[in-house]
Amino acid sequence: MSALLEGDRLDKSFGPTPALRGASIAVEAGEVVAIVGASGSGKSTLLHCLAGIVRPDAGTVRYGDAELTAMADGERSRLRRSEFGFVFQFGHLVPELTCLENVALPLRLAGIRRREAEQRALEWLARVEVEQVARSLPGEVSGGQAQRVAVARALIGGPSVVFADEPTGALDSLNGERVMQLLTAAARETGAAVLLVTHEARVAAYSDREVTVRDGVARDLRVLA
Amino acid sequence: MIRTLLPLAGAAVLRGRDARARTALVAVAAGFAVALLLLAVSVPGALGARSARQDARSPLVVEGSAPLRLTEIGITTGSDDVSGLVLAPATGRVPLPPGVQALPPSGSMLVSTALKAELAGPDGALLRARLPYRVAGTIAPAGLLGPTEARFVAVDPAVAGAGTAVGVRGFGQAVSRDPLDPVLSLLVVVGVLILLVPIGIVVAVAGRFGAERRDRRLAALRLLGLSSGSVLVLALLEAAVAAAFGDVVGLAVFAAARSMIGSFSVASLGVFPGDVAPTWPAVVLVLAAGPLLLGGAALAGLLALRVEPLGVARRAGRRRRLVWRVATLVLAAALLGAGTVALAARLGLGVWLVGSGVVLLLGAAVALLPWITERAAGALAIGPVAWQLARKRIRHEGTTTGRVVGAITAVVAGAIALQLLFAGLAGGYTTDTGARRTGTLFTAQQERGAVADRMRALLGSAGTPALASTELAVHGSADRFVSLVIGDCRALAAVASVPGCVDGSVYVDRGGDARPGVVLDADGPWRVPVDAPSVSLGPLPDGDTFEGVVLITPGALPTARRGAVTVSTVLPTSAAGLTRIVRSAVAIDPTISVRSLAPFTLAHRFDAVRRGLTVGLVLVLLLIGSVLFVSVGEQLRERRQALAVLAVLGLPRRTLMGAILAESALPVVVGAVVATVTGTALGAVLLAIMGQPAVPDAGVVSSTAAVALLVPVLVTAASLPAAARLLRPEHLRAE
Repeated sequence: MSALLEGDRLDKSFGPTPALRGASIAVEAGEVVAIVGASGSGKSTLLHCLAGIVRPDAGTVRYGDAELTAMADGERSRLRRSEFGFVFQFGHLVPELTCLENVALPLRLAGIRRREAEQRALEWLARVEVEQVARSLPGEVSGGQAQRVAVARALIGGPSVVFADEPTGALDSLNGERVMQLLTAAARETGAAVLLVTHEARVAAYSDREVTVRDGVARDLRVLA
Repeated sequence: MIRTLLPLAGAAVLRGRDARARTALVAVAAGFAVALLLLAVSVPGALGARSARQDARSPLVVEGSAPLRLTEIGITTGSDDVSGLVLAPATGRVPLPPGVQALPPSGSMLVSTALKAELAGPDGALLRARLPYRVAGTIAPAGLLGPTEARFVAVDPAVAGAGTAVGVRGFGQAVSRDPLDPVLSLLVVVGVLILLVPIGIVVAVAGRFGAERRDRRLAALRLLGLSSGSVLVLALLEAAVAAAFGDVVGLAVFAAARSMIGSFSVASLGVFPGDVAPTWPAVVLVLAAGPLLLGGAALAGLLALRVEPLGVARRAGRRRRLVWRVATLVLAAALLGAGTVALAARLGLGVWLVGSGVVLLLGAAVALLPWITERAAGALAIGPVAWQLARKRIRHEGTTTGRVVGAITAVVAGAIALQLLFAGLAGGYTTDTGARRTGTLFTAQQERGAVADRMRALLGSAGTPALASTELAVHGSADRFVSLVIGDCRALAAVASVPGCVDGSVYVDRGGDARPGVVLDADGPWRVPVDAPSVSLGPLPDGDTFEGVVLITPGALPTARRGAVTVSTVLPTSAAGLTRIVRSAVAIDPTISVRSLAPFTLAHRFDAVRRGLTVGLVLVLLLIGSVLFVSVGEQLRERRQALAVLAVLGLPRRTLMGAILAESALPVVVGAVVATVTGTALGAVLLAIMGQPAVPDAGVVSSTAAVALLVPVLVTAASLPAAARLLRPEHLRAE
């Protein structure tokens, strides 16, 4: 079975500090993979390289037949818009848009009309149990609610891969658990793969498998095999 | 994509209280600039309309018989000018001046609304005495230069025989007139630019409000797949939406100012609102200026950043460079120099060269400010903790306060330059009327000597000497004339030392052809006695001076031989029976000029320009103060987590207050120095252009700088309570 997303011998340095040193990883469609490791091990950098947010210094990232590392900024932006979803530690919601509009935004950027986009967004907000904050601005809701809104926004466009970087990092354990339940359940339902960065074992437990990053090197048993 | 981005831009500028406050401020700042520009571009049209009105009512004078005879009358009472026509219709179809449907009956007049009010007012007695006509109606706007013009059109057959009456076949004579004095043109242009430069800076600063929030927004959108180009488009759209509000505010302010403009006048220069009409291309250009400026500011801001999905990073290696700042300064000096030369050659281009030089000089001053501030912060390395916190922040981040102080620096520099210019020019534009006292000046021009004698006797009866003057040709010459001043001994003694004067005496103030023994044409040759004593004549009561004049008493030359004479005297405004004298004088000569005198009067137009600019400067300072207040608040909110960290670390509140004050104080101090130097230099250059000695007035410079620079200090002090509220550990949870 060929990988949906694959990073091959990725190197990345920030100034003199190496973040990735020949890291390799492969993610198959529909699976939930947790990238784990200590702080500063390079796990977030790996996720950012795989998502096309950061360009590695060496190595390649392939998504299906396309090579992300060879793409121009515009192409990578298009790919993020159409194929990927994101849930980050602080939600990255647009502060001036209501929660409903934030969730509808990927559909609007894909050219779907406002009414239809917002209808579907409302359904997703209900699915992640925060339909009551639909008309609120992100600054007016709690961290847990904002993160659920981010989950809905990540999944509404039907992405193939959801990148989640410490999605529960800013939440208490109860809220964190609930966000993970909702994220993984929804992803499995839609068939999206989830690439999850965390340093918490209880969060990693929601994954199908774990990839450990240590000193910039990913130990993906599937790739090593 | 634009369809998707536009609502995003709309939300960014309108969603939430903070966004709305920011947009409102940008709109007010941009609107103010738009309104000012619209008014500025309306000036040529308004002046043109005024000229057209003037032309339309200028009489078409004919020699010989005419359907209408008229004389134009000018009256000054206090600071108000009254002008009008006294008509004597003859036979045939009588031409009507503009704004007059039908001539009023003989002995009555049509008046403008303003004159009607003046006549009915408490100071109308003298005016009513001077205009002894019944009010029969009003003059329509077509006959007036402006809504506040005091004008009348009277019918009085007696005027037909007056010396100044002319025959008229109609109205609508194009009159050649002097263009606006180049000095005043320069003042207006420089004044408008000095107001616009800081407004432009303030608009640009206001456009960068909420930068941190915008960065978060743009990064989030990049994460969702928006390309860097689309992000740029979105930022420009946001600027355009904010600017559109600015345009709306500007149009509203302009419309309000335009409707109010008819209610007041400066220096009798009132204009009808309908005449304040900028051309459509000018309107389009002005309305485009706001979006261009805000868009440019947004673009400049974004070019210094890299907006990535993970956040926004400032591009490395952006050090403040001195070279282009100095280059701007040099270019400004070159433009001012070229403008000076062009103005000396009386080229219209000179005004624009100087104007561009002024803009660049102010721009260079504003650009130098952060560079100097950073260096100053770097150099002043020792000091308490508060100062260390402030200087670190200034050196590494600059401050919004610093940018706003840039705007204030431009205002202060401009204000200092203008104040110096006004102080220097006040001498040139303060007309010495020559009058040795205040009072009411009577001047009557009489072709018939007998009438002149009656007038002189009447005016002389009030206890003040009345003099007449005339000119006689040198016998045998067509183009050489000698002035004569006629008065009884008492009257002559008031203006010259006339020892041994009796009726029939003649004196000579030598000069030109005025000398004893010269033969003049006075209805036949008349020789100035060869033994006429030499005297020195001072200025006449009306301010007239002569270089070479013959002084005669009435007995020296018969009345009939003196030709047309001008009788004049000055009576104290408080003189008893002044109204009666005016009435009697008008009865003798309906065209007599009666006007108030003051020893010195500031030329009206100059005064109007100065007052207008002062009001403008105050408004600009208020605008800057409000922008600064919001920006300081915004800056504090954006720093609330950093402040919370300091609170957690146990930073005393007093230290924080000191740091915040110092952050504002350093740019203010540097701004004061830069503004003083720039303003003084600019004022000196402008004075030199005007040919005035460039002597800076320390009082003017320091007071202007102190008043304007108090604004940031007061605003920062006013924001300290808000800072104290933000210095709390719980704000660590702000995210």
